[in-house]
Amino acid sequence: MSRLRIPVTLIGCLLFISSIARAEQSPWSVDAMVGLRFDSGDTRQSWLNGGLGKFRFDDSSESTPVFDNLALGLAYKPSLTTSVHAELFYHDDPDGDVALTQAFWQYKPLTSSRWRSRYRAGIFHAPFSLENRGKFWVSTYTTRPSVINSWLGEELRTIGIEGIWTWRPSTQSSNKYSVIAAVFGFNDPAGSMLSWRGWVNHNRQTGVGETLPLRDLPAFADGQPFQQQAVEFEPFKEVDNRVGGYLGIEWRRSRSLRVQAVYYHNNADPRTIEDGQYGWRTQFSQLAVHWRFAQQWELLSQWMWGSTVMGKFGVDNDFDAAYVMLAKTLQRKHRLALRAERFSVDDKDYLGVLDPNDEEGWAATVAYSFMPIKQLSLSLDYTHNDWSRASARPTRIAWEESQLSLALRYLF
Amino acid sequence: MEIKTALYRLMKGACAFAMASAAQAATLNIDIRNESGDSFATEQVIVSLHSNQALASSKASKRVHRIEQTGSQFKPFISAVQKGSSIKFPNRDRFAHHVYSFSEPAKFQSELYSQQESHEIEVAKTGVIVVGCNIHDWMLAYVYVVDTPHFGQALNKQVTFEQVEPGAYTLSYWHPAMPGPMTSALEVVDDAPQRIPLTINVKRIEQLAAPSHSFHEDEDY
Repeated sequence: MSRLRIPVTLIGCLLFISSIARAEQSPWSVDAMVGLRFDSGDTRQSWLNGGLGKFRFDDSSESTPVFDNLALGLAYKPSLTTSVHAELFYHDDPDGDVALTQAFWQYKPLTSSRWRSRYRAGIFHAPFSLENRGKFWVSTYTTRPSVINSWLGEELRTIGIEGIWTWRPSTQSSNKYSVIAAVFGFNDPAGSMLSWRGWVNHNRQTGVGETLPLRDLPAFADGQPFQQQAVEFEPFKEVDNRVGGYLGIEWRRSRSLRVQAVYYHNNADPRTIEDGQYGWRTQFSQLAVHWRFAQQWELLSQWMWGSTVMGKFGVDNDFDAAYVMLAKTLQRKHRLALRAERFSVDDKDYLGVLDPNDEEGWAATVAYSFMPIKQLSLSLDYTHNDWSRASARPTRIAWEESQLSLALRYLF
Repeated sequence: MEIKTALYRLMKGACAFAMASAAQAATLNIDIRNESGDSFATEQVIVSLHSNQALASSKASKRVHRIEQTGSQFKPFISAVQKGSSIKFPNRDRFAHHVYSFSEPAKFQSELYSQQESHEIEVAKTGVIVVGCNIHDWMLAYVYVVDTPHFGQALNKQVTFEQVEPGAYTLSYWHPAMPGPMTSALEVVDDAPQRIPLTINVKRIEQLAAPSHSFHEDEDY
């Protein structure tokens, strides 16, 4: 029962806050989300419980309801152009606590020009996910986002400033062209989870200052290359006092097509270490498309490839992942989504069994969501993965896992 | 007294009759046939009648035309006004809009909170005013500015112009999908109602609805 005490108290608070902050014309608005799920399947020990299993919730919580994504969002809009947003999550897992995932100031000047712009400053998700387009940056298709978007929510966060400049040839034009640019600090250790654990499917967004559990690798032992690594991993830490950035271009055609190309570089110094956190020099490119090719039908795809380097003569990995998803929505109430993805980490360094990062695999997800009323969605998701990974032993791990989830999501 | 009044009334009536027959204004019915077969498009077309005598159409009536914002759409989507009129934009939504236009006949922008109405926007030139909203960029409205009191949109494939003085005219029609208006010459004789056939070939343009969010999709997308 004590396990339920915190979430139940939080839900009570969410209900209370949202009821008092609903006054019309108020510059304040409150959103809250409660997610509850039951999982069942054939899974390995979760990475959150110290294993290598790719699911957030493993057999240990099987057949018992878990809260996933209990969230509170606050927005303050004093004018048509300016707003301030904050999002808090409670994570129901061993490392769980209340986490601040986003907090930013947004400015959208109202200029009657062919150029529009939007500026954000603070802590926020980079606009690279075409899948996680729901409130609270959740996927609106499946309860477990693709490995790419899982990773973006886990190890990446823009703590800096971003501008998006959009050009529309005319008021009646259906085409819009955007340029995205940002500079940020703090995200120096990004790349570590991807290397030491690999790609995973989950919907857990890391909060600022929050830590994630690391597996015990031979390279962490005394006298080994990464003996200074802290037991807990902190992705959003400033290690080298350098700024990183990203650049992107985007084309949108009416509501039918969105094509995006981005390049990200955290510009971390791989030779630095601060409080047990290394700088991981991580860069990647991504091509993404969201195409509504027919009424009710959507095709989404993201393809990301990049590299991460840590330490002097340390980790040197290339990574690559891609998914294709097909979704059909009927009567705005039923949605079926099919997603296939493949992922890999190519371990190019010479640390061998001390730091085995090589990984290759694929996953397939089928999800049916039903939205009987505007606030509530019920989903039935099934994910199967098949992957192999280098291990500290000469033989590779080759596992298959599957999980069926029944999830309920309520927004108020 | 009574006889005097009756006589006066009779004379007045006779005079009115004489004046009316001297400058018999005609009623014109324009029968529109759309070759594309799209009757919805036919109702979007603006038909106008322009006198070739510059003076004849100079009696501009200054009117206020209203284009509402409701459900994040402009209503009417396509409309026409006479040059010299003005337009007001009432916001009937429960949230703000930022209405603007880059178009030559009326360049403006107006921040409109819920239930607010813009000031009167004067329309001093002819042409097309394309209206948008900076906050909801699918919102679109077209206002066609004409320099004649005779203009309208088809109802049951017909546009009626009343009180048309006899003379040489140009019949014109316009639709947002057309690069410019199409015209033809027309002679209005001082006589009984006339039926004028007008053949067009126009396909409709759809007004984009507000995005329908489901599954808790974010509005910012």
